[in-house]
Order: sequence, then structure tokens, then C-alpha cells
Amino acid sequence: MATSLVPADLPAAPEPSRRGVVAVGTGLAIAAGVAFFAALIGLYFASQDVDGPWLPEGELVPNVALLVTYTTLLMSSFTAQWAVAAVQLRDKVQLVLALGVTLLLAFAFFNGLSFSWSQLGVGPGDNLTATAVYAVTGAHALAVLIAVVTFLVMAFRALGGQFGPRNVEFVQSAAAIWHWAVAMGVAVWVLVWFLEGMPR
Amino acid sequence: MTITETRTQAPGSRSVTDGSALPEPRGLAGWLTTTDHKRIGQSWVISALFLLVVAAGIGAVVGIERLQDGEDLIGARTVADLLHIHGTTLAWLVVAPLALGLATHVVPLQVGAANVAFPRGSAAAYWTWLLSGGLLLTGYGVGGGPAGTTETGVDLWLAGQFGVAAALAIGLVSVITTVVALRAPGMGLRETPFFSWSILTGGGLLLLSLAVLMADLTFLYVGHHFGGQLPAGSAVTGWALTVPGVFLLAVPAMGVAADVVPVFARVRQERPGVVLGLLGALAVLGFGAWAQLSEPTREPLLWATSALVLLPALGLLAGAADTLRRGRPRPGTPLVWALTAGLLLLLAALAGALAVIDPLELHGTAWLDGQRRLALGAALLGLLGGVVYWGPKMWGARVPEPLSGLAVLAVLGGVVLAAAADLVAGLVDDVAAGQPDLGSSDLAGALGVVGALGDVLLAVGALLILVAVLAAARTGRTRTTDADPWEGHTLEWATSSPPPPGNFPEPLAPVTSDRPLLDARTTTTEAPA
Repeated sequence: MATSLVPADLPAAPEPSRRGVVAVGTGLAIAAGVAFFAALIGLYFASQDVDGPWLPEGELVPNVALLVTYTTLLMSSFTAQWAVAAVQLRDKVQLVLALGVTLLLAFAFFNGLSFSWSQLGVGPGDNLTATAVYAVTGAHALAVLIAVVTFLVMAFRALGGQFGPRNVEFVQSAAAIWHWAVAMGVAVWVLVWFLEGMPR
Repeated sequence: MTITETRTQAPGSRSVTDGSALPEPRGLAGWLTTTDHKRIGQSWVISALFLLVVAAGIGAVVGIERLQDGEDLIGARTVADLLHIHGTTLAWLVVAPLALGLATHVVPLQVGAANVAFPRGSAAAYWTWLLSGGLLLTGYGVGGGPAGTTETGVDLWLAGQFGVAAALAIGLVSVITTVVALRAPGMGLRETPFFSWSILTGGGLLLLSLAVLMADLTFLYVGHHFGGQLPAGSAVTGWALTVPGVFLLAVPAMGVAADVVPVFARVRQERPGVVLGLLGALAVLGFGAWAQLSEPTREPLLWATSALVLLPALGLLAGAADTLRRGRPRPGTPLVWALTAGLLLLLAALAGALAVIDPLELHGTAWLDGQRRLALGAALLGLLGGVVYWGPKMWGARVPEPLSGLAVLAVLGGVVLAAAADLVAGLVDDVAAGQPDLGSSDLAGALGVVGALGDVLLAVGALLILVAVLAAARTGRTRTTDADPWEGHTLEWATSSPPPPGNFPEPLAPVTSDRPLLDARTTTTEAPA
């Protein structure tokens, strides 16, 4: 068995704080998530017009529906942050309201996105560009779903009283993941839908 | 209890010797539900070693098949598939999980933490990897792969790869967070041990690379599942295992070597900042995810990064040589594993630098297969050296030196011979990469013999190291070993072998240098009577 090789007269160090562990882990996960979408969007740009126009003759990108859908998602960022503030204030009524509105907005996003897909007139495997568009937007929908699940887990624990002004790390982490999903949505809308839907 | 703590830790204390923490279940239930980073690390390592035997065995079959004149025992298409399985398994089911397993086990000990940052995340990562690896191999078995013939097989193959990449990413998040957020008081990044630093830098960039790989696989899956065939450009995932991206897998191995060499030289690393910088440079230059569809001979930046990898490889090997020169080296197989890893990395870097010289026309030939073998071989040698070096910590017993010595010779010889066959075939005969045979010239026969010998030797080496590690694990159950058999320099050797739950039974004093145990040993030796 080892005896300590450290001189006995040195005082023991204080117990290291575990604060920041969740924040660092969340930061790493978000960095990986940004790289994931950067690669997907890069593949989309590389696939553009390889097989000719990706939409059938006469079909247009449903710009209005898409703008409303992604604006809805953007609004959910604010309500998600409202939920964080409610936890810090230990206000359960506001927390329930904020969570409810956030999840409602997320549901509206899924609804709007699936409607937009149905209006395109082209399926995921029909050509290379369509594959890339569906890969990017589908992956983003999954990212929003992951954020929803994380938020739900946080919500149950918060409503159970596990978080408060001094223990809000996980709440902030869940909100950060939500903001990441929204930011990726903004990038997808600008780089894929908006540029694709501009008149040629 | 916060989300990042586990039941093995008594709240507010690192030690569980006061009996207030719940013990883990024994037997199989214990292994299935463990959140102890040491057990999770052992699981990764043992699984990777078994898969090394499988991958090396597949390589040996391919090597022997290449010897056959006349009628083939297995079809050319099957040989091409087996080559692909061999490469994929070696990279993502052996080398990467071996690095992650070592990191999961050793990094918390090196930085003075009681456990990894996300113990349940690490456990989930291991089981996800295991299941996804099974999916991946099953996908190959039912007609999957890049030239797959069945829809289900290709879908399984893609999903399996995605799961493996996701699992490795989750595991990396846990160990990287451990290095960043759970270092012992006084241990800044400059005092971080070299292996932990290599996990921070190389592991961090590998995390981003895995995210990009997952994006590629998502694109391929959508195209195949809905469109019926892999989209054009299905070689988009090849960048991960070609110059320069393949070097990222060698960074943790070089971290192992950087920790091992000063210990066996019995001298302090003179310029630790330079070593940290070289490891970081190797990681940065090895990040190839941004250049997926580019040809190194055409893109100046990609050409530069592929060639510049030579510098940190040379620097690390030169630093090791200088350390040995200044010290009083003592024999030991961990040192042999470490030095051979550095040597192979240098050869791989040289081969990669030559591959991007346009007039040589080596890009797209078997030369790249040989270069990949050298790079993965360097990673494998270094990481297996880590398994032997930290064997007392992992298994409670040293890995038997005779078996370890035979294994390192076999693995080294196998990698060099197999790589040489590919390198020469690409250089002389212009054989294309990934082909089932080494060309049709008179030289091809001789190259086939050399390559087959190399593949068989690697398989033998894989078996030897697996037997050696299992022997150590068995010995460790019945006997204990010295806590610090190598007179190590870093914190992991300040606790028993194997460490108790919570790792350090006594609170650690503030760390004041990058070699705290060497300092303490020197102070104790020099203290007046």
C-alpha cells in the first residue's frame, strides 16, 4: 500500500469546486453540435445543382410558411430564457407558463416544418440537393427534439424543487442547448431556405 | 446530490472510507451498472483488445488471400470488403476506444479527481459504442459497406458507424471536461500531465472531427434510405483516415510516450512547455475535417498541413532522444512501446509528406494505404504501451514483461512489413488504393509475401498482448503490487495500485509543478536527516 510521497507538513488543499463542470460539458457538446451543422450545410452547398434544379418545374420554396416556422422557433428562445429566470426566482407559476409556451412554440415549429416539406413536391432521395436539404432540416428538427427532451427533464426536476437561485447550473445548461438549437435554426433558414427561395 | 456526482462518492468528500457511500453491486450486475471510471476504462480497453484480435485476424485473412495464385479462395469483392472492415474496425473499434478507455481510467487519476466529470455519461458511451459496434459489424455481415448490395445491410452499416461516432463523442466530452474542470488545486494547464493534455487537445479536435463524421453519415443515410443508393460522393467519410486527419488518432499515443520516456529515463522533462506545444501542434495539424473533398496535391493549405505534420513528429522524437541522453535509462517494455510509436509516427508523417508532392503521383495509390497503416500502427503501439505502463493502476499487477516484449516486436514487425508492401506497391506499380491485390507485376508476388507476413505477425502480436493483459488482470485479483513500480512522476502514482473508490484516500496537497511526485521524491531524498 502506498504511503503519501507528499511531505506531511503541507496543508491539504481545499475540496475543488464542481461548479462549472456542467457548463464546460455543455460548451463542448454545443461546439460539437455547431461543427455537425457546419458540415451538413457544407455538404448542402457542395451538392447544389449537381443534378440540375432540385425542385420540379413550377414548384417554389414555401417562403412564407418557412419564415413563420423559423420565427416561431426564434421566439421560443426568449420563452426558454424566461423559464431560467423563473427558476432563479423560485416562481413556479411563471415557470409552468414559460415551459408551456416554449414547448407549444416547439410543437408549432415541428408542425410548420412538416407542412413546408409537404409543399416542396420532392422527396429526400429524389436528387442530391434534395437529399442534402432534407438531411440538414431533418437533423435540425432532431436537434430541436433533443432540446425539448432536455427541457422537459429540467422542468420536472425544477417543479420538484430541485433547483433554485444557488443551484441553477443544469437549468442554464438546458437553456443553452435550446439557444443552440434555435441558433442552428437561424443558420439553416438563412443559408438553406432563404438563399434557396430567392427568385433566380 | 448534483447530476455530476454518483453514488460512489460521499457528498462533500472524495473519500468513501467513512462508509457513508453506497457500495457498487458485485459481479455482472456491478459491471453492467458501474459508474466508476476505472471499471468503465477497463471495459473499453478489454473490448478494444478483443476487437484488435478480430481486426488483425481479418487482415491476416486478406494477406493470405493476396498470396493465392490462380483460383481465389474468396472473391475479389469480398477481399475489398474485408480490407474496408479491417481499416474501419482498426480505427473506430480498436484505436479510438483504446485511447478513450485509457483516458477514462487514467485522466482522473492524473489530474487528481475522484471520478470523471460525467460518470453516467461515460458508462452510457461505452454501452452505446459496444452495441453500435455490433450493428456496424452486423451491417457488413448482411451485405452492407460502401459497396453494399442489400438495403438493410447498408442502413445498418451507416447507423452503426453513427452510433460508434456518437458514443466516442460522449465519452470524449466526459474526459475532456475532467481535464478542464476537475484538476487538483494548483494544477494549471501548464502542470497538466502530457497524456491528459493530449486528451484535451487531440481529444477536443477529435470531438469536432467526430461531429463532422456524423454529419457525413447523416447525409449518406438520408440519401440511401430514401433514395435507394448511396449519394454520389459516398467517399466523403474517407478524410477521417487519410492525410492529415489520420494523425489525430495518434495524439493520445504521443501523450503516453511523453509521460513514459522521462520516467524510464529517470530524469525530469527539461522543457515541458515545448512538449505541450508539440502535442498541441500535432493535434491542430491532424485536424482534417475541413478538407473533406479536397485533394492534398491541389489545395495549398491541405498540402501544407499534410507536410508540416513532420515537424511535431520529429520534435517529439528528438525530445525523447534528448531526455534519454540526459538521464539514466532503464529497460522496460513501456519504453520500447513508446519509442517505437514515435518512430512509426515519424515514418507515417514522412510518407504523408511525400504523398502530397504532385510529381510523385502517390495520391490515390496504395501508398496511402501504407501511410494509414503506419499512422494507425503508431497510435496502436503508443496506446498499448500505455496499457502496459498503467497496468498496475488498471489491473493491480504488471503486464508480464516477456509477453509484452514479444507483443511489441510482433506488432511493430507486422505493421512495418504490411505497410512496406503497400508503400512499395503504390510507389513502383502505381496500384490504386484499397485494391484486393498488390498489382500484377513480378514484384507483386514478393510484396504479397511481405504483406501477408506482416498481417499475420500483427495478428500474433494482438493475441499476445490480449493474453498478457488478461494474465495481469487475473494476477491482480489475488495479489497486490507496489503502488508505484516505475517511480512515476505524476499524481496517479501517489495512490495505491489499483486505486480505492474515490481514487485518493487522503486529500491532496496543492500541486506546484508538472512532476509533483518527482519533486516530492527529490525533496524527501535531499531533506536533512
